Amino acid sequence: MTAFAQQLIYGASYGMNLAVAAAGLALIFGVYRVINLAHGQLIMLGGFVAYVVATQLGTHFFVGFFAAMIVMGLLSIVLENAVFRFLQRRPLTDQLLASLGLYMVLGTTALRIWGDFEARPIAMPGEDWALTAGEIRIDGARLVTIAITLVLFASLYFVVYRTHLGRTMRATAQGEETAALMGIKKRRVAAIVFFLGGALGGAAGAMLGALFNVRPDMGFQPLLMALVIIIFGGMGSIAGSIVAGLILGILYNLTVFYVGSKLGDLVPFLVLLAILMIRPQGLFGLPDRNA
Amino acid sequence: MLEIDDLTLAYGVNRVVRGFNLSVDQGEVCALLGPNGAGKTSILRAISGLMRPLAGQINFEGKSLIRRAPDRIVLDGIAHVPEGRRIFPEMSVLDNLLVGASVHIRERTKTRELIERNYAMFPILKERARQAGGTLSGGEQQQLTIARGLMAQPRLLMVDEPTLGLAPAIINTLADTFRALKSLGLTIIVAEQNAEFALRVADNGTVISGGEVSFSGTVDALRDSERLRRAYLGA
Amino acid sequence: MASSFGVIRAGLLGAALCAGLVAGPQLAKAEDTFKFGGVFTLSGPASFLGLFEEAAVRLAVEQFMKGDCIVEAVPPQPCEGGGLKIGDKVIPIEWTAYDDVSEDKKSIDAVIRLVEQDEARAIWGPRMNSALLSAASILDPQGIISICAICSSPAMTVGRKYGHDITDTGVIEKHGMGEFIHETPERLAEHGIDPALFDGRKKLGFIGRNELYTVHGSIGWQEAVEKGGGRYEYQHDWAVLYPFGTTDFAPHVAKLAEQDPDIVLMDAYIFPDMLAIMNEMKKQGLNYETGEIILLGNDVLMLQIFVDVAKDQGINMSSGYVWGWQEHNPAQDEATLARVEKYVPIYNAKYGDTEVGNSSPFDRGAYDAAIWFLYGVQASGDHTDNDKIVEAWRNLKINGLRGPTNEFFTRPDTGEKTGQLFATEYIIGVADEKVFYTGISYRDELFYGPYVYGDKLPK
Ligand SMILES: Nc1ncnc2c1ncn2[C@@H]1O[C@H](COP(=O)(O)OP(=O)(O)O)[C@@H](O)[C@H]1O
Ligand SMILES: [Mg+2]
Repeated sequence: MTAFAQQLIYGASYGMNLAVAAAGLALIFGVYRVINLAHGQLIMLGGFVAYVVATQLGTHFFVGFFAAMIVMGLLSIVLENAVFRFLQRRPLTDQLLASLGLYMVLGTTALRIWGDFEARPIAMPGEDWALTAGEIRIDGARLVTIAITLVLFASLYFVVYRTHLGRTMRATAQGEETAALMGIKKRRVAAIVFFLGGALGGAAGAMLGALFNVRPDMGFQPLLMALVIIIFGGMGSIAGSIVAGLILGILYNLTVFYVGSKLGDLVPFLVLLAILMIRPQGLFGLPDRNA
Repeated sequence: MLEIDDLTLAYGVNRVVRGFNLSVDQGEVCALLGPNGAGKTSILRAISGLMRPLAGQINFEGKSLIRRAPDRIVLDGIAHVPEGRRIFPEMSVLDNLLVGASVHIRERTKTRELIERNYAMFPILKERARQAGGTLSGGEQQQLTIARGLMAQPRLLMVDEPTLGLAPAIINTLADTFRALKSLGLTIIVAEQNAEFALRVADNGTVISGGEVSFSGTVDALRDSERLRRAYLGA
Repeated sequence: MASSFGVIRAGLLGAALCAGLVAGPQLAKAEDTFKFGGVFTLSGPASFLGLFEEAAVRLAVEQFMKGDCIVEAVPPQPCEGGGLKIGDKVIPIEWTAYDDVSEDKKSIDAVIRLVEQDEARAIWGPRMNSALLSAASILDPQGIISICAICSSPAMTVGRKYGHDITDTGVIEKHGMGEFIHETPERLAEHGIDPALFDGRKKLGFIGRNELYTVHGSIGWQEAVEKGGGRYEYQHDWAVLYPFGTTDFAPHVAKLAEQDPDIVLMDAYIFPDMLAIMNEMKKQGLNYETGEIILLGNDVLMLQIFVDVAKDQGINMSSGYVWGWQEHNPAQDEATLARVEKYVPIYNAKYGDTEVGNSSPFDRGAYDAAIWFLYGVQASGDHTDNDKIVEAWRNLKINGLRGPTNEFFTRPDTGEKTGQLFATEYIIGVADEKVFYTGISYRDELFYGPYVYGDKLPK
């Protein structure tokens, strides 16, 4: 029972990190209708920015964290202008192929700059303590990332549902042309959405990097999980992302622990298959949406 | 107020509107009549900047609208209520209205006044303010799109096929709405297949068929015209 | 799939050879040079595994052509420059290398190109397990010699007449750790190790990334336990094999902790993986700082630079409960040191400022292997007959940069020479934050089991 509870906690903490990564992907898909596989590399690059700023320049974790958010937000805007703008109305396969290409380009570039599998730690508040309840332990650092995640989601919720900016984003998601007729600038909304999406990727990268070391291949598993999360949670649904992230993180941990370590990666795909068969619109998605 | 000269519109190589002329005066209600596929929507899209003309001129209050971005055109004072009741279905009625006020959202008092005015004109929207747009009935949704268009505080309101799919009783209410808007001094272009409705609310009418103007004149002249009938029958 | 592909390719090559025979002069020309080539990962994330190996082989060819081989064959072979001395002829050596960018398909394409276009007699690499197996199915039927100095895989040699593995394998390494944990208290004490180190320890664990190398490692680990006759408990299916790209190691370490092992063998070789696992172990009660467990690792764990990095992350490896091995003799004789001293400046002058970097024991192993092979070709007396080359090479020893008299392993059951290096494992420990050699090493004891020699690799 303690082992089970412990795995729930580990899974929840990992799942929350994944949910942040997924929310960025969901936001971009929801408003802009593009599946951005390069998001995985924004997560990785976010980790590197946090590492450079926090560790190499010797500042605090949170300085690196915000730097990662801002730099990845800006990079994401650049990518929108250079690549995704031309993909918006193209078939899904084109989007997937082009963003996969981008994934490779960014990955190779990062390797050129930072080399391979060195150890790159980021010191993080909470690293040196843990909460314990009987046999169950929660690391301070994991608690800190959970807290950050909750703050990020609250802020995101506020922006999307409580500001006019968010209103214009939602309107664009539900009817791009109609939104343009209301005087909403399409390009501006695209820039903001990509900034926020990239910043969320950067935040996820900074947190994952601080918890588990920054590495050039760190974007792959989170990307995979994030894709499943947004399909699971309903494409474009923010609340869906967090719930699906938690469920998937916990499922991953329970599978590794109770079924077999090799099968951990299988879980997201089994979940994916199950969703596509049973509830293609996802947990929170509407059955049909022809906006 | 609005002058269109020799407008040609095309999708690819397919010219769907040819040599179209229109003149709308301040305070007038102008009906754009024609069967499905005549080119009405394309003309409205060209005016609101969603579509770039192949040739021709569009001037509003003396300013050319050619190559002007849609959000600038809204600021200039033209609101376009698109066909098919395109509300934002997952957003509340109030949010739908606020999106309509995007171009001057920072002027809070003005926005609040516009909302109050809309609530006065369409009381049902006030009742449903917190409800998702998608849950409204067809007639209510049409009221919402018009109210949302008014939120930009336009001087020219363009409404595309407002009566499509609505019950006769609701069409009557809609006609009252148009008369009320006209009495407030608003200039209106209404694109319709429903000639009977258009003749009830408009001062002047232009009939298009196959992308070309086949008749232009006052509603009275139009009512007697054989041409209108012919345009619809394609004779 | 791979083998049928191989057959088709073999057929094509047969046709190509016939065409060559008809075209007469071309073949005669081919005899004038000795061509061999290699497939390496020279760019991308894993290039650090390929660059030095290719660089070392290229340098070996250059040194051979110059007549300055640095390392010596036993019995001696001439190294007089200009190429291979075959009878009274001197045959120039031609070396071609291709980059596989870590992709299986590219490496197989390169293998085929080397065979068909470049007419290579021997092929170095590819390294990746899946590519290695497909390459074998192309090369073996055609009798093309296959060599690797970093593959560490039984699939290079077991059941392969033309395959050569000039390093240890994951299985042999684990056999080495297996010998160590069965060591007598007396011998431990003799080498300054706590004689009670393994007292009361019974259950073994294993963690590594899910790949063929670690699967073989875990099998070797189980074989070592079986050889010990019941002193320890371990079964291959207890192995915790985490997937590629794992970021959060908590559940994997939890799975290991649940088995409650007394000794854990960590078969990971990527710094971030190792650090994450070691951090998590401490948190989850598998503490090697306090002796809760003994942590055994590999030659990467026992790199001084890793010990330093780990220390920076708050990991203390000097507790006396962390041990590993390495394949390179830490206590070299003077003759070997002299060879190394001559070689290193040449290597560094050529590559020190490039992506390849300065010399390490790894490129020295590859250099030894390449010169050894060229001596073998020479010793065969006929550079156009691969059967003769393999026979002559395997019976030749080398006094290399890795030490004196490196040789191939002889199968005890048939008395035949295999293509597997008769490698030694040296047990390494950490004290006062410095790695040190315990003085304990193993060789003959490690070469047992179907993954080390036999007619066929078990499925
Ligand atoms: N997006 C489009 N692409 C190509 N052709 C179009 C498009 N939209 C409309 N058309 C064509 O343009 C013509 C005019 O259409 P439209 O302006 O919608 O007419 P109306 O509004 O009068 O029904 C029709 O023949 C229609 O098929
Ligand atoms: Mg229309």
